[in-house]
Amino acid sequence: MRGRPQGGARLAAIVAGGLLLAGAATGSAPAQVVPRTLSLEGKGGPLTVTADEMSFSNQTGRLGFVGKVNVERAGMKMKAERLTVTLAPGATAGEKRTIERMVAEGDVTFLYGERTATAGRAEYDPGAETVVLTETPTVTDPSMTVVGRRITIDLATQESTVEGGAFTFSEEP
Amino acid sequence: MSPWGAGRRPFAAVRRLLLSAAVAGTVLVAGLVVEQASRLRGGEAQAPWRIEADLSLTAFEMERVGPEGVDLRLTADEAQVVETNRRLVAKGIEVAFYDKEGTHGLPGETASGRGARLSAERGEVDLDAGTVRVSGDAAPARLAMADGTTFSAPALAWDPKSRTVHTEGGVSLTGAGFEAKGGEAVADVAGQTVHLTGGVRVEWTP
Repeated sequence: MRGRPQGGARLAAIVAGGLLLAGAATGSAPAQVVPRTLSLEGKGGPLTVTADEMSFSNQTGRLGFVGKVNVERAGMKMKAERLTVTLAPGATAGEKRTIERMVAEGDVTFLYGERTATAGRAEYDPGAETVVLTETPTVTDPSMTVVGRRITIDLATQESTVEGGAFTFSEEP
Repeated sequence: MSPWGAGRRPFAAVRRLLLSAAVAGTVLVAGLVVEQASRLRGGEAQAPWRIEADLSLTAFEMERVGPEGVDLRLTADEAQVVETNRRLVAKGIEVAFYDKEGTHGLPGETASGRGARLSAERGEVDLDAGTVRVSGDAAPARLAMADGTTFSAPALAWDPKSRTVHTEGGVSLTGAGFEAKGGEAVADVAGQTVHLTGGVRVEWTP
């Protein structure tokens, strides 16, 4: 699914949003699952990072990017001030190593489909196919805005889990 | 009259002649020394007896010895030592950097390769400062590090004081499954780290 939630998925999102609003109103904010409301098409393919500077150590398996960091992959874009990429251990020197984890920090903006997520910190786990947004994370699409303490986007199931948050809906024109 | 008496007169003359010649020679040498000292005091830059020679060699090999032993080994297909500016100019140059353990091999060459290897079409070595600058036209200069990272640029310069290699011109880096391009780079050979600046683009292809 791409773009805004449709049909049952949209209804489920609204229900989930209502639950969260109720939770926020009563002071409790349990984690809620929003099914198939967030889509990330075309995952996989080349991943490109651009930045002002980069440091790399194969011994530590880390790449550190600083300054106007942009991450782009089919279906997603991310901007941040800093990015740390941790590579999976390689058996021998010179061996191809996959990305184990990516952590973006500082004014993080995550764009996917029609949605925009902002946060102070975003952690991408390619193995689990998840993006975890923390430090005042907000997800916005044309019909709603989600603000939470922690938002986990599951790229494989296209579900997101909002912890300690609230939904705000806008009427469609 | 002794037959030796008459015979002694000619020997006395020879002795006087030799003595006169020795005195004259001493005066001449002393004069030359005084003149030379005067010329040197006068500020002449080059001593007249300085010998200058340029050497052209093939299958050249040279090692540089630092405080901890051999720190690099340079080989070249052709090399010319220019004495006037204390430079070595080489074609088909390759420089192997040794680590503190004395290892210079790369992965696959030795069991514990931890050094780095610089190669290019040509290079120039400052024999006093120990700096090495390499470059290439048909193929860029290339640095291969023991961790499997390699980067290439139009020109690369080795600084022995910081044990780093600096690029001149755009740099292309490959390693650990990604390709990176940047405006310039500094590689720390001892620490096996690379720092790219001037706008960086990195791409992973699954």
